[in-house]
Amino acid sequence: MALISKDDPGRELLLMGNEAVARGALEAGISVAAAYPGNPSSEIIGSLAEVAEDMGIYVEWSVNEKVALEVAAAAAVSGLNALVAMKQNGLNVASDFLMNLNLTGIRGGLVLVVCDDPSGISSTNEQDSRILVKSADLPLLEPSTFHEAKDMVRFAFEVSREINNVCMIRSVTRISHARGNVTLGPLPSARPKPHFDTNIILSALPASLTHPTAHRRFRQAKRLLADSTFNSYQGPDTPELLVITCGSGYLFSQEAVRLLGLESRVGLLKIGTTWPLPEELILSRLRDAGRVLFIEEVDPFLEDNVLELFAEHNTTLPKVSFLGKKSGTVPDLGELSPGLIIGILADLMKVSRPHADEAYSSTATDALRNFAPARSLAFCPGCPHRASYWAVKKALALDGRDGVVFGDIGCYALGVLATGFHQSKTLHAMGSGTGMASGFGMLGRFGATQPAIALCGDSTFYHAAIPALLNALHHQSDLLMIILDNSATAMTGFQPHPGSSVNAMGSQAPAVVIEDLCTSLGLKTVIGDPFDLDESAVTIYELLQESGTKVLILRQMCALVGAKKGPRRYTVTVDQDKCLGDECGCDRFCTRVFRCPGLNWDVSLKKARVDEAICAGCGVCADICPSHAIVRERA
Amino acid sequence: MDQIHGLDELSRRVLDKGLCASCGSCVGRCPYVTEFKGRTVVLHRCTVEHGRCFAYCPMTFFDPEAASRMVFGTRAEASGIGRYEDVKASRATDETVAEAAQGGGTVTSLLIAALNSGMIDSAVLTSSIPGEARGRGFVGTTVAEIASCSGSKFAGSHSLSVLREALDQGRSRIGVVALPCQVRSLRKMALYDLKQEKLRERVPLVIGLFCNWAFSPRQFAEFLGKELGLGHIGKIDIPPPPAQVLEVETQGRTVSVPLDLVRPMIQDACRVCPDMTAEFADVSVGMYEGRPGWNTLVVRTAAGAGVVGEALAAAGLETDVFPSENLEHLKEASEQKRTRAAQ
Ligand SMILES: Cc1cc2nc3c(=O)[nH]c(=O)nc-3n(C[C@H](O)[C@H](O)[C@H](O)COP(=O)(O)OP(=O)(O)OC[C@H]3O[C@@H](n4cnc5c(N)ncnc54)[C@H](O)[C@@H]3O)c2cc1C
Ligand code: SF4
Ligand code: SF4
Ligand code: SF4
Ligand code: SF4
Repeated sequence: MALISKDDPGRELLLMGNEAVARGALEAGISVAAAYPGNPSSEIIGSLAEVAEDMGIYVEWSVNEKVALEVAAAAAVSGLNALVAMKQNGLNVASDFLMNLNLTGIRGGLVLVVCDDPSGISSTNEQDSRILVKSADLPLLEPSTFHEAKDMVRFAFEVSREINNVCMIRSVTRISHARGNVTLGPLPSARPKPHFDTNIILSALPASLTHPTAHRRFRQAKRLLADSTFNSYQGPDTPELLVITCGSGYLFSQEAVRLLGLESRVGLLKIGTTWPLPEELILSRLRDAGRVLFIEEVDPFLEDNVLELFAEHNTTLPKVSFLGKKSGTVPDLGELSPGLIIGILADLMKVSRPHADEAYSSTATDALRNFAPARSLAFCPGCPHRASYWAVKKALALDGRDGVVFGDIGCYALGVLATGFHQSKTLHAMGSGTGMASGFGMLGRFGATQPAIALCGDSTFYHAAIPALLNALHHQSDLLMIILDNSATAMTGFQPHPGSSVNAMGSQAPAVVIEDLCTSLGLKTVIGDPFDLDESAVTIYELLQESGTKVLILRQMCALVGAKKGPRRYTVTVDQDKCLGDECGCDRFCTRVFRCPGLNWDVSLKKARVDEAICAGCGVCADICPSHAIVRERA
Repeated sequence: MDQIHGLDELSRRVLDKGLCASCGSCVGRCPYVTEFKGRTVVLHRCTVEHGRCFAYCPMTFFDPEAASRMVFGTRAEASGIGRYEDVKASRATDETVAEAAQGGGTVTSLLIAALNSGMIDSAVLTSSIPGEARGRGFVGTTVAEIASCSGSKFAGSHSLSVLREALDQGRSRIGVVALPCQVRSLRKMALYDLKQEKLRERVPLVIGLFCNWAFSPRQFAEFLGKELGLGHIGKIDIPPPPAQVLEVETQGRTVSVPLDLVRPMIQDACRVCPDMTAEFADVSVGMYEGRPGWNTLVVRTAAGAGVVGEALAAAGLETDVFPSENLEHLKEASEQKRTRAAQ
């Protein structure tokens, strides 16, 4: 039985932050959970999907974040508890609906967990989603520990049901992906039967009526959060420095204070309910603090809001000097770390830093030890994207008109880097590549001669590229859409999507076949194998010579899925007698240009060789070696 | 070696300036340069500092003195039609050869004699691509294969790219029919032989063609197809002056296209090329203006004299005197190209 569904109240378990969130949702008695995968949020729905059958809940990987929120909202307006999870970029996709849902409200419980990715380790940006929550007039909670993550979800559902509106939770990578102890609570035994009350119309319009309602609900939330135990103060009554912190910042600050022995000089005000703020608590602490330091990840959200509060009450408060991102004391971007906070506090308090060993043994660091490593910035061995990008590069060179590749979000976003030969020239949001290509393909009338390619993966195709493709088709834009179909949402952990024949809960599901969809629209649709490099290049070239909107599906299984499914296709070796190495005739084409990690450059021999442990056995490199030194045999 | 660079420099000096002669010598040796529909395409950067692409390209640099010393054992002759032993009128005796040939079939006859005598074991030629004006490289190893390549393709054809194929097949006596730029490339290969492939010994016979210009393969194809609406191009002929036309066989008829219309399609490389008569070949062959069915044959080296001797002995070729006023006229035309190129 999976850990998160253990019916063993009081038991302590080591859970990942995202699993703790999932457990909290189970304890809150959710019926429905939906999400579109996106790191660092993916494991929330992933772990719920695993226990869906046992727990009798409905879990889905939705086609995109907006639909996920809509699916969850349907449950919540019918009186159920529903959880929806996404990453920060996903909140943008969902925001159109969120900014209207907040006006109509709900009737059950709806908790939206958004996991921010400070430093953008697996994201295009490091946007702070809290800003959006504030403008939505919704309450926001931020967990600092794993156990708290679980309990906050339960509390969020209570708040949501109480105020009849969405309650938001913001996590960050270091909470979502690290592990810590969580004490289990009881699981509910019964769930309500859904019913949509047709006597009430849920319409955001007219705003003149719904906006005041939203404000009223927000004020109600403010009262509920004011005395929350998720907010706490520890430290002397009149600290030399008051640290106001939230989320992972609290964990780091607590550790830093302990390691520097500053418990009697520095006070820690931990805020778990970051919006709306527990004003009384904060004002009372500001009265006794001459100096305040804000520790939080990404934007100065807490900082701005506390400064606003201070300004409102400035006539009754003593002078306070504020330090944080605005003063330049704390970096205004990127992830924080225990070491960073130790440095800041040591400087401010004029104490010396502890030895590195000691700092390393800190529990905060321990908790982060199994933190997911940053994705490497190259395609995996045997990855079909490498082959696809080479084919694209070659086709554009053969074409000679300086064609432009509009890239998209997924593993293949790495195509802006050397691993994709720098072929993708734009990278923004899900589906934006096709939208931009659609626009660029209309510029021929002004004399543009460069052909346009929109590159997107299968998951992204379903998520957001279809409307852009329809736009291109309808306006007869000259573009070639290349769908890199590796039959997986590989970047985030192989969640099924509408093209899969199973759903999140493992049951059979009808697959929406990309080529069927495209041909039914009347689009010229060609299917190719990226591993057939030369043929793919010529196919791309030929499609680029045609006008109008065309689709090429380059289909080949993700190397990681392939590795899971079966043995290698080929055993690959380098015949070093034939290898030309860095001489004229090759110049290390395999290791310098093609760069599959399965191939190594032997510096002393000046020859290439296959790293058997890493090579995925795709055999593609045998086709690119100019001297036929790479030999592949059917494994 | 200090004058030899790599691919970046080849791009800068030749490709980016549109000065590629489509000789094909840089193509097919490595993953970085390829030919596609008549265009020389660079696929990726190469970091080799002294590369064959640059070294063997006729348009990067050419040292006539070094080439002359190697080919003729003497100083270069920088006037007229270059260094030669003899100039003759010539034609094939075999009717089928003469029939299929561009001029008198001299080139094909010489090749057959060279193959039959064992002087060469293979020939790097230019065969036609059905329906297209440009040709492509072809390695012929039989009389029939050699005969199948008769006729001139007037667009650059990258035919030297298949020299690699012949070398990889282990051929040790390769004859090549080459345009003047290609002759220069072949001589540079023999001079610098960067990979010690014994290129000098392995290419014992270079038959040069006279050439005033060739068309840029892509532009010419686009012109014929898009501008003139001509499909499926067959044989192309340039009748002697004062015709001033190009006769293009297309789908069962012959269309005369004024030369002035197609001149813009001439490769820029040809406008700066000083060599009309393939001055560094073993023998050079051109048309015989005013004597249809005959060629002008310039014998330049012992190897050239040898192959002509073989062909005469085998009765595949007949020769006649080439009048001195014709020779003067040829030298003048050759000088004019030299002068135009220098401008
Ligand atoms: C682009 C071009 C321009 C020419 N310009 C002139 C000119 O201005 N004045 C003149 O007198 N003669 C010119 N010639 C030469 C002439 O057309 C004949 O090729 C020559 O007279 C030999 O005739 P032949 O009957 O002996 O050839 P054939 O026996 O028909 O043999 C022709 C040979 O030429 C080779 N060949 C054909 N096309 C090409 C090519 N594009 N590149 C390299 N090799 C090729 C073939 O491999 C074949 O072996 C030119 C030829 C070409 C290809
Ligand atoms: S591409 Fe082939 S010849 Fe070149 S380094 Fe790799 S194995 Fe050697
Ligand atoms: S076969 Fe070659 S390209 Fe494929 S994984 Fe192995 S080393 Fe990489
Ligand atoms: S230097 Fe050699 S390997 Fe590099 S592009 Fe030129 S011919 Fe190819
Ligand atoms: S002239 Fe020949 S060697 Fe030079 S770039 Fe063109 S095809 Fe290559």
